[in-house]
Amino acid sequence: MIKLLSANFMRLWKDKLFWIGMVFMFGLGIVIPISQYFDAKQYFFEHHFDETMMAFIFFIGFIAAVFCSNFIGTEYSDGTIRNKLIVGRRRTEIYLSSVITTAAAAVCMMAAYFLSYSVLGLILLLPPKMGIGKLLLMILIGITSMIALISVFHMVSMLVTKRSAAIIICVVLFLVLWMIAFSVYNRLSAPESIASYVIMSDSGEPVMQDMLNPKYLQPNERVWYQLVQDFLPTGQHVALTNPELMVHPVQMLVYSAVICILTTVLSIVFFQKKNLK
Amino acid sequence: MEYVLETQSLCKRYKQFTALSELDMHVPKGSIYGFVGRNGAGKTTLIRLICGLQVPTSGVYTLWGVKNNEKGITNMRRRMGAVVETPSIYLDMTAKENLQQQCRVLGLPDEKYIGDVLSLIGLSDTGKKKARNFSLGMRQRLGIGIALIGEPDFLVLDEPINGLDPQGIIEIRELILRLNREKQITVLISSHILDELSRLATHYGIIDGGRMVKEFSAEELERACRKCTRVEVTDTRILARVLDRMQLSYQIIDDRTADIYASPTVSVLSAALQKENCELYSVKERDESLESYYVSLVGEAKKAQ
Repeated sequence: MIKLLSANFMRLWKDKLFWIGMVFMFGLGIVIPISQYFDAKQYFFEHHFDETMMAFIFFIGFIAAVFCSNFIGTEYSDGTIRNKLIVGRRRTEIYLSSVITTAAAAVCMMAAYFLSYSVLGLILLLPPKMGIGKLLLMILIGITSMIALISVFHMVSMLVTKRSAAIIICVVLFLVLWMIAFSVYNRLSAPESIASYVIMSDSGEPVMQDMLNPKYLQPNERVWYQLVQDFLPTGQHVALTNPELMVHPVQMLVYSAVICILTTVLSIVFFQKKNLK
Repeated sequence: MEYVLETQSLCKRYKQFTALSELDMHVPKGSIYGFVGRNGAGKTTLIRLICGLQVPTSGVYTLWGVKNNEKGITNMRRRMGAVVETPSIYLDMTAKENLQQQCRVLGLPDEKYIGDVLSLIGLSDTGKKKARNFSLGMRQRLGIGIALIGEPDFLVLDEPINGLDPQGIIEIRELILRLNREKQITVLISSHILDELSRLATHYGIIDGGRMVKEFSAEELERACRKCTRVEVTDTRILARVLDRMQLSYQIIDDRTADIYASPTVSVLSAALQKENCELYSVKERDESLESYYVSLVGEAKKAQ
């Protein structure tokens, strides 16, 4: 396995898409604090370091979907996965080494963002409102949810042997997961009442009256919606950009681990039986 | 005889389609084994099985005596190199980088092998040129180069000359012969280009419809394909006596037919037979090649079915 990791990391080092991702994330870590700084100057807002610290999360997910499916798909399209099997490398080793490599690539891209954001953010923005413990917890959740997402993309890419198909499926899957996460977020954040209904008072004046919001979740429904929010990696990503939604941080870490283990075990079982060409 | 690869009743089915059926095969150590068959005969399926890309539906194969369902098979595979269908190379890497990759997969120090392999396959001067820009022959040679990393004892090449120009074919042929003669590498080559195969192979296996039709050595093929004269007589026992007296080599086919591995003077032979009351009905020149031998074998197999 160490040998396969060594080969994979050598390939990663030469992978153009990986370096494009690294440069993009590093650039994003520069652009976000600078734009926040000018925004604060222009409109006299107060922007704290932690407000936009996780604003990159959508971009890294999208990049990971493309990068992971392309990196794995190349093994199939160039046929190089055969070189590993022919010389007696086990399928489990091949699978695990490539999932570790792609996860490491995603973490490196995140690190590139954090590096530039931290340097510029600490100089240009106000100090973080939340404590260092919570900041680190958010970063940890960001990393684990990203690894969970990579595990899903990796599973798709290993089982769909056509590179172009794998890229399309991963990107569409990512967007669908984000749409689900957003609709769950909208329901969870819906207020109990809305002041949109207008009636006429005795004097004939229009009056705003609070009405019950039909989209407001009842406690039994809320439990399920919260579970989906906590479980989905993209749900966790939405929560990371709105820290008040991070009500179950420990569960989020556990769910990410569950996703990683489940997808890896399941796809290794399928990959073992797969007829390769 | 020691065999590198043996298969016993090997079967592979894909849903309703049977790609290999009860295939028995024996690849002797040190040989260049020509695996002959038409497109779809099952050549690539067999290669995929022995390379571990697919699992047999039933039957077994052994590599150096270790069965495919035994634990030691992965260690045996480390002694193998293969090019299955298209060369397995990273197109956005150079020849050297591709070889470095395989060195890492095998856990070998890069420098020990790469220079030697690059010069062996004739790609030493490709520099920073990406494999994407290589010709088909260069890619094929790079694929063989990757298969050679780790100094394998057994090289499996699936249609290595398909699509190559005449120069490319010569280069690949010379490379295979050099590997076999200088490094004693056993080579299994699948091909349907029989003329080319007959310039290389020391052993042959003919496959048709997923079944092994016949395995034979180059000597056996030579005997079968020797230029001969086929004669038809009333009694081949008399013919045998006459030919023995004339010191000519021959093979009796049946009671009335025989092949004589020479070109006897027809009048002399006829007179000699006449003396023993044996009539000479017909004399035909025969010049068989691997191609005609293959056609006759496959034809016989079809009739037998």
